[in-house]
Amino acid sequence: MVKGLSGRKKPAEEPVLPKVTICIAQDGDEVYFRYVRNKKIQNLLTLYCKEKNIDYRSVEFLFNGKRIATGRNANQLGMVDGDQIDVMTHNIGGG
Amino acid sequence: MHIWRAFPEEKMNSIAYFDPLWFELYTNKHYGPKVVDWIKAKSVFSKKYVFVPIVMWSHWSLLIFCHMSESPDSKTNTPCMLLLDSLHAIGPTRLESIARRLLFDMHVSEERLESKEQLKKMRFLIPNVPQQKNGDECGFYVLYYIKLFLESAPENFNISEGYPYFMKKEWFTEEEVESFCKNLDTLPVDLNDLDDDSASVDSGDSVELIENFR
Repeated sequence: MVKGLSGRKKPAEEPVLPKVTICIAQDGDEVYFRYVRNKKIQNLLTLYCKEKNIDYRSVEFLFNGKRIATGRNANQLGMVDGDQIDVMTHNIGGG
Repeated sequence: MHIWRAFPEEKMNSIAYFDPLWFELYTNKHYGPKVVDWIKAKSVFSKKYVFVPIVMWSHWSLLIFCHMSESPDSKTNTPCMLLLDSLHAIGPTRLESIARRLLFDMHVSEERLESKEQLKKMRFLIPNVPQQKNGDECGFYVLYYIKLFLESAPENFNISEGYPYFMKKEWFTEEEVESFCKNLDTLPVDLNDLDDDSASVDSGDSVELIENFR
């Protein structure tokens, strides 16, 4: 069911970091992730792009309609379990 | 959208603005209802002006909902929609039906009492504003419309008596837009908006994909 992406063992004394379940949605397609709350959200977003085989720079990520500052973590962004991130392709240029 | 930070707070309190992505997202069936929810947080019905930068078909334009807090029968501040577009040649009227649908959805989501018929009567106007000369200036024109509108919009205007005094073809010159663009870099920057890309991405153990969730 759950695919861990790490082979690295944590030292026993290191506390288990609280995680949050986040859904990333694009055009009705939803993907769920468990994500460590105090790590930069950029990790999650780049993994999503890798999974979907899309260019990270070609999309915009929105949380509650606001563009995500990718250097922040889930705590700073106020994310809770079940929250959804929306993905849309850039269409911002033009004349 | 750093341009907003260049205005004094009391001015900003009387207006609302949407992210330029929202209008096009609104037309997408997967996002439309969400956008209406996001808009709800903007309290548009307590604002004098609501700025909606639009990017559709690779072209920027600016929709302004005016006096949404007023009654449709208000004599001094009649609610209306203004569309400022720097390329009238390509037909800005194509945005009217989407704008009207959005107007209606905004009223429904806030449980406003205006009837569909009343909303249909609200005027959608495309004033004669300065037009771009080249192919890639629409975004700058939108920024400049915002800046000048915010600076010069009168306390009251009633659209049945004509457009606000400044809204005409000679509103500003090409040279003014150019010098405005040159100074764009000096607008205040919100540090929260900056991506911190200096640190490298952590190794994968901070995130795991859940397959077949639910």
